[in-house]
Amino acid sequence: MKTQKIALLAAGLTTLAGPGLAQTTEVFSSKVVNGQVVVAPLSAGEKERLQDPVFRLVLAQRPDEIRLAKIEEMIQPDRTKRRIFVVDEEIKNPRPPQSRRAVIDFLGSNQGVQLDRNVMLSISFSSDRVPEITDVEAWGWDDTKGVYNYYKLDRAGTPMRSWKLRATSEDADIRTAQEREGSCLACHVSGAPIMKELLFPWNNWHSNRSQAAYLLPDTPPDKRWRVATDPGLSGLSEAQTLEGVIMGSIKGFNNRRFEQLVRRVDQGGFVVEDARRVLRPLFETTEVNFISNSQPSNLHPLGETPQTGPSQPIAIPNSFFLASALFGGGSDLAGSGGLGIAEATQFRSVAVIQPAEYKTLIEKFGVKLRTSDNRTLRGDTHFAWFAPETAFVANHWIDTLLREKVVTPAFVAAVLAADLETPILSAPRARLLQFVPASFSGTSGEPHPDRLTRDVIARLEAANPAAGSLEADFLAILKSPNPLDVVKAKIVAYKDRISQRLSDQSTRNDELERLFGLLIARREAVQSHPVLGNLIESEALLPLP
Amino acid sequence: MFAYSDPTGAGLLQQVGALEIYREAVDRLHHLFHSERDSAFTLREAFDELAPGTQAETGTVEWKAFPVTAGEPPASIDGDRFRLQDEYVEWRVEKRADGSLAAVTFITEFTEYYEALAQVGAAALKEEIKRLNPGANATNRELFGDNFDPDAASPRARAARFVRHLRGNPWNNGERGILCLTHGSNTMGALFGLLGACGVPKNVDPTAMCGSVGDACVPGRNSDPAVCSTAQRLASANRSFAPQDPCGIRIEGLDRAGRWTIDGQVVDINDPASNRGVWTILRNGRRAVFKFQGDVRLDGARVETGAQLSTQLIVAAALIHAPNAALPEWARPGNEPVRAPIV
Repeated sequence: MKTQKIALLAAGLTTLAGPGLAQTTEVFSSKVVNGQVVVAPLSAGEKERLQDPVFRLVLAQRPDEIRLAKIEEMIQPDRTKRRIFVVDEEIKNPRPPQSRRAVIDFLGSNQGVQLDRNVMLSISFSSDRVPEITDVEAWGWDDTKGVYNYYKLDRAGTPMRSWKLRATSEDADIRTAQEREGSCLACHVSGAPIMKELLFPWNNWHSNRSQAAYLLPDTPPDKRWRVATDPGLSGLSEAQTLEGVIMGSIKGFNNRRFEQLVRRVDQGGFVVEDARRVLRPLFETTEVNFISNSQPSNLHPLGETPQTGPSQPIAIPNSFFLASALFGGGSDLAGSGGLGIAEATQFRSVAVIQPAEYKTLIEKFGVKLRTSDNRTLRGDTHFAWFAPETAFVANHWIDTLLREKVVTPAFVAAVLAADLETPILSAPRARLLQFVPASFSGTSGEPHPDRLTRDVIARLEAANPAAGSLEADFLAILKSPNPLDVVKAKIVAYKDRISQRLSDQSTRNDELERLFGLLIARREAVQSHPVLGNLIESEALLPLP
Repeated sequence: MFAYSDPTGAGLLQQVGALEIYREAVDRLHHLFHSERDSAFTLREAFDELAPGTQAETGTVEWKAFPVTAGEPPASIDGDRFRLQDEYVEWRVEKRADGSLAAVTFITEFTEYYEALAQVGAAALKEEIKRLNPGANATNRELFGDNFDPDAASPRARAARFVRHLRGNPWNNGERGILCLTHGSNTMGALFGLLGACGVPKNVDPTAMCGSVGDACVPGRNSDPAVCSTAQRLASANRSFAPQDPCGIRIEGLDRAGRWTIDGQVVDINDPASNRGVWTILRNGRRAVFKFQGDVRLDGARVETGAQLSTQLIVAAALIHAPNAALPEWARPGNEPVRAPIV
């Protein structure tokens, strides 16, 4: 993240607990104004509007509290109802000294405030201990306003650690890259919580699929870190549990956004005032998650496993080939059915790389990871074929529009079929958003072609696209009686082509190299993206040449 | 032989004289798979003979029921149970005339339970089916298929026929009900085989173990790698283990991260006192029924398939474990040949 100048505030500081713990009783806001971070005390009115658990249970009561254990206790006094999840791009490296990032969540309720998936803290800890006082990032869901509030406890802009409200999720999705700089919204692009590797097998997280044994108290002492027995780590949990929590948070967030952005009118009617904003995640890649094959690559340079290559074949994830979650549904879409095109979920059964081939690809492309201690190491991620994919927050949003019948399956299929083979960061598909009207209204359940589709068709026809152009193809699919069938046929042909090229020994190697080259290109595209690049917190995340 | 208890806790096994038969079947599988050389998977009775002052511990391995390797849309997973539902959980979907869900019944019971009943007689099976489906009047033909007289067959032949016909049995194949795990991978033998193979200590990352035990572990699944890595971690820590009694897979509940509403009211779906009877876990966690009564929503959306519900369903296998040094000599890894003979 870029460093920015911070404008110091003129804030009253109150000594509360003796000379060693002089703390402010203020809660501040931290905003970026003309490229500068401006820190100023929150006004009484601003405080009154904050109704999330972080503010209600901690900041409104003890804004001076900076001890992590006390903050946790204020949110949930019952230690058994706190869980801690650990992530790090170097998590497979068991050699101390190191640090790890962690997320703490809370169950149950406290003082009438519901905590489950409504509040989380984010900290770092060392291999020796969970610090008593440290920088803390926190988010809380304000159910009254339907927004997430993002806070940070740090020294930025104040002489000593203090809590700052750094952002809210309101209108987060329409912020420019510049407006996001220095803000939590640099990473929380849509405004919702993030778990970059949200789905199985959660590369870089401590999970049931990849345990950081050095964090477990029952690991033999010579193999575990001192922090493993730290009370602060006693609620150590695993990523498969956090997945459900984050998914639930995102779903709740999208549901509220739907209420805010789609106005219901009588008799099944609706109005979408800002159509391009609402439909943007269908046309553009607004946020990414990272997915991988479920097999360890056994080529990760930070682990202790010999780098012999995978022990099992590597199936390339479906989402690498196309927008499989929306086309086919399934666990990638929280079990929703999507558009019900089963063929979209079958690429991974035809795109299977043998272990020796995968090892050759990694070696031939010379991918490397850069560690926090400035080492450049040849090798792969822990799980093989680590790739960016359309984020769950975006897929669920479109699925919500489908489920609520604001858009038709035919329309969604037609858009996703445009530049079908580029599921993320497709500039041509993004270009089609211009044909969406500024606003539209309709009646839920109207069959294809619904009012929105007819409007888009008219705009495309008015533009008179050249034959063979993406716009012309898009128009043709929209005008077909059953776009789902057309798109399904395109997907089948695409899958067959991949299958054929991989089945034919004369083309197999070229095809594998083409696909791996695409993988590298997508990693590079995300890394250099003005917004999505903010998600790359470590150069050990993405193996690149 | 360890006195394995009725996995369902319902008492019918004992009532019809099938409990000993069930115990022998489970014991036979324990003996079969604990014999993996140097495996930390030992016999359950070893934990009743621990060194003085040593307490056995119980740990659970949890996973989600959704078959992550299926690679098919949720509706297909619902409709192709015997091919796709491979996470030691299977389910039956009941729909209303308009296509909406009426109920989803999840089960985790292994066939051994029903085989024991079948060995006693067709009447015991029919009694069980009646308990599960009040008013049911199962016929011999439904349970055993054509051209088979269960009363004339030997107990073992009757049980074998019952198992072979499970996919044609309407009380199991979803047509009229569901009884037990029937997918080819969802067997007690597969679970025990997994524990045996993954319980051999290797100097590897426990979570990588699944990929190195051949067919015993399917790396892409939710269940196998989780069970395998736990077995390997225990073995590597010089601890032996066995499935905790009653052995099998237990339905723990629905992911508490999900926000459920019924007719607009937020409910704790796992709390029978507040969930209006929508979600009920039965028979010691071997069976659970989700009834779609009223406007039931998860995170604002209606549930449309059993597979979607399975993404929320958490199941677990419990393992009892203790330090090798505390086990009786015969039960420790490396002493497989001197372990108690097969009954």
